[in-house]
Amino acid sequence: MFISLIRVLKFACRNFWRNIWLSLATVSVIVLTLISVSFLAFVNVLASEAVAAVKERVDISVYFKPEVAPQEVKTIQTKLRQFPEIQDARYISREDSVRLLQETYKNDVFVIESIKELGANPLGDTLVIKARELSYYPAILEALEKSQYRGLIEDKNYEDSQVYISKIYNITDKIKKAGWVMSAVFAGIAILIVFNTVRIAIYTHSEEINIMKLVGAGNWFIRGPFLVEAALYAAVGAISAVLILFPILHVIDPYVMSFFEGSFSIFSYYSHSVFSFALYHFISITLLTMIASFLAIGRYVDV
Amino acid sequence: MIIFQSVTKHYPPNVTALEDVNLHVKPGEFVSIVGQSGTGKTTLIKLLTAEERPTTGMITVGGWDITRLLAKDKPYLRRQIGVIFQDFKLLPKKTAAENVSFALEVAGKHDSLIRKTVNQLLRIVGLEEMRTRYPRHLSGGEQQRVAIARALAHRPKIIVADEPTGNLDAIHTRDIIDLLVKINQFGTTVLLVTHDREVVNSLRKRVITLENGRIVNDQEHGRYML
Repeated sequence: MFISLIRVLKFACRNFWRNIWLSLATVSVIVLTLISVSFLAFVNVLASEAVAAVKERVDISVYFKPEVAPQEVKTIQTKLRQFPEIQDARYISREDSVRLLQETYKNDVFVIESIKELGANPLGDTLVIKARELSYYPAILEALEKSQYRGLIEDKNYEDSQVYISKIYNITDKIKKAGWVMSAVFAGIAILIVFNTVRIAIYTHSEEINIMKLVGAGNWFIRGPFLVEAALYAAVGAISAVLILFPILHVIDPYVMSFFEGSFSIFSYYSHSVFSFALYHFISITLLTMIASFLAIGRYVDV
Repeated sequence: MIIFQSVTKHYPPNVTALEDVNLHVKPGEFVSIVGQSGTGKTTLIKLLTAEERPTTGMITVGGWDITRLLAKDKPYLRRQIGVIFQDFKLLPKKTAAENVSFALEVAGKHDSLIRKTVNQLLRIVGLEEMRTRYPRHLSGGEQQRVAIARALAHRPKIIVADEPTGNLDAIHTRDIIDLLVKINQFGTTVLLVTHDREVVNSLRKRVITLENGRIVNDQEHGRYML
């Protein structure tokens, strides 16, 4: 048994080497497939990052009436921070608010003159609420509407945010759906290509399989080297694809960095997750090549 | 040794390759099977190596009924019957020695025994010096000798040679036939399927003639009759 196992491994390695051009052709198809699938994964990651970056900028400002004491607003802030849905509630004092207003409209004489005309600060304190998820905003706003503090609130930028949020939802949803469809189509094409490549590789060995049978080789002794060879194709293909992606991503990275204003690097992302990439690639492609190999040999073995 | 009892082989839709064949080959016999193309000679070989099953009838080899042999038992039968073909059927990516040793490796034999046996067999067929050559670097006669060495690897009691000289010139043909006669003299039963009138007549051994899937002649010291 042990002798046979060693021989199966030996034959597989020898076949791989002696049919080096066929092996290289098969490995090349696997490498191209894996690189394409990886790029699809990168597109999904970039889309998620882009959506996350936009989501990060969404918040709701709650403007309190000028007569509401700062202490009361801070009490509301403390209470809001206790909600698990709320990531943060930032307090902006009325003095800071007017300063921000003056700064924003420093070139607008009408606004500056109006503030001066009023004499006193016309603004109240503000709480800037940031939810953990986009989907929490409507619930948070509804909760504020129904709360005891309803009368203290002057205004909320609810409608603006709502449009913004629904747009983001729409985009995220479409990206996800497109990602799934593209992944499914691509996976299907990749499976067909790899499957047929392995089938062709086995077909070229059909005469050899016939001879193996004639000299008394058992079915598993015939299948074994081909299955191991398929695993070798997968291993060499997966390792090559993983290595080839490094220089490619290195070239692309500056463009990605500039798009995300330096907050996301696809090269760093890949460097950190290279082992999981390699593992997923190896497992999926090994399964695929071995199943293809098993089915393809089946046509020739059982005689 | 080999018994065919009322063996018939039909191929769909309506081809009859063998019809009611009765045959008894004794241990140590040298039997030539002759007949024109399409008379069922190759089908007979395929039935003997369990590549095909008879439609009706029974085949036994050394007392073993192989008529309805299970797939898992076929390798064991094939290790007991050495087969030689017109087109040699050598593994092109293996050297002469590897082609011979492969037959032993599939049976799980130890490396030391394999080395010893392969050396012996290559010496018997006169190819010791060419052990590292690939089939493409050997002449037709040398390739056939490698195939004979491989067929002998399991020390089979039966050698079946299907047109072994069909691709060879007269000199190599004589070499191969002499080798088969030598193997037969050591006690191995030899079944030679051939078209070659000269070969059959020079052997003066048993000749079975097939015509349209039937045995039409079976002579102890026969000649090529067609």
